[in-house]
Amino acid sequence: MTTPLFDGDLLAELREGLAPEDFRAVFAELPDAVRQQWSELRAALARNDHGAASEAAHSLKGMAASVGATRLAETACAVEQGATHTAAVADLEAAVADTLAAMATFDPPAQRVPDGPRRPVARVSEIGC
Amino acid sequence: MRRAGIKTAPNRDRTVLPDPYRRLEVLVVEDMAPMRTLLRGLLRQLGVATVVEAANARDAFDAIRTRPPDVVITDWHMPGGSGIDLLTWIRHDPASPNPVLPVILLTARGDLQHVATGRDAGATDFLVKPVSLKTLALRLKVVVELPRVFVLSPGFCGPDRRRKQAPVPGRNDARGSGEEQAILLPPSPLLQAKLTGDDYTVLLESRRVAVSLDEFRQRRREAAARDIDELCAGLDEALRAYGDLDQKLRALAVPLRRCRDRAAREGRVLVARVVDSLAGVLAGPFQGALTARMIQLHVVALAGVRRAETEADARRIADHLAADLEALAAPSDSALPAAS
Repeated sequence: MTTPLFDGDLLAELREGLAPEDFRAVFAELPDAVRQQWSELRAALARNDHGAASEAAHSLKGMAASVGATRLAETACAVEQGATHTAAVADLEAAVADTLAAMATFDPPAQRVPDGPRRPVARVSEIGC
Repeated sequence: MRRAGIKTAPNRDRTVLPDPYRRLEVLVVEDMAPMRTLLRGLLRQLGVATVVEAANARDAFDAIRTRPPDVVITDWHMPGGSGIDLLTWIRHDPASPNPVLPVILLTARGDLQHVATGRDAGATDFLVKPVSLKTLALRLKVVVELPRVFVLSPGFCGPDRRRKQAPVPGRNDARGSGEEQAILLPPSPLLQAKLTGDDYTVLLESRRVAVSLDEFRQRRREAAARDIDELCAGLDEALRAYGDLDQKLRALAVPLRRCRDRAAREGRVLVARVVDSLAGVLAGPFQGALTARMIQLHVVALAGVRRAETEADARRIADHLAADLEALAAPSDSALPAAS
């Protein structure tokens, strides 16, 4: 079963925990930060620097986990832990693209969760990352 | 003595910290802009009015030196200086204005080994991502309202790593710290007093902490000076027993390492530079009189940096001396030709 893009419960927590303008600001800043980390990760892999790749993946994971972007966090976690083979990186690349696309459809004032019905999702801190 | 306390009004609607927390000043250190925004937003929702932000550990330390906050929340992994680096500077750097500053480490990993690393570096508490309003409020309340004994010792500076409730040993009792001459500060109500506007307790506590910190800094200077003296005495002895110089020098590995470790831990750059340079000479090929002369120069330099640590005027000279020595002792330098 594919991990959902977003953890609906965590997003709901964030919506309740942040003022609307702060919620908007977080998701407005997020795409650039995700792109930057993904770009650093790719550059590190291209020069075969696994330490730097792991650090970039760690940053990506922490950021994704903080905003409930579960699939991105999970795939980044795999790369952080050393899975730099093509399939793992392709999974991460797909998660980056899907998460960015989903965030583009966010409607912060209405604060709609873009990933369909909610169901229990393991938090990153609970999946051994 | 009056004890400050924060009354928690029941609030069933949402997580909000008690009103006095609006006076809390928090420094958020995060390299990712959205994460800084997220933390600032959560803190504001909790009622914390003053939130200062830094994007890296170095800027954060500068901000702390300019105006120490009440609490630091720092990410662990950051480029150019981690949260652990920042914690080390706050706890050990002689330029740190407040080594007992509460520091909450923010991490995506909550495993025991990770937590132990942070705890041993002197972290006050931890926040595991994802951070929620509730967990952030809880951690801040624990830091402010449940202060712990603070250990000031040469090898460890931070809240007591033992969480169990036990009587606080008297001052200068090194039990549990594993080191001589540790100073144990009883749990301080300073932050609570500041938040509740209890100026009398703030004054008393600030003085008490300042006196202990002065004493700790003095002891640290003395311990560092002792290390250097011991190393210099060993070098002198080795130089006098010229016939056994090579063998005697090998016996100095322990005091050399102690000097170097302490200097690195406490950010004493000049000492670290001279000791590193000396270590390079000792590790290099033994060249009789040339090696002996290089060692003599390092003994002079060590005496200079020892003085420079207490006398500001001597610092510039020691800095030049350290640079000259590094150049002389560099392996590629012609001053140290390979042994024929």
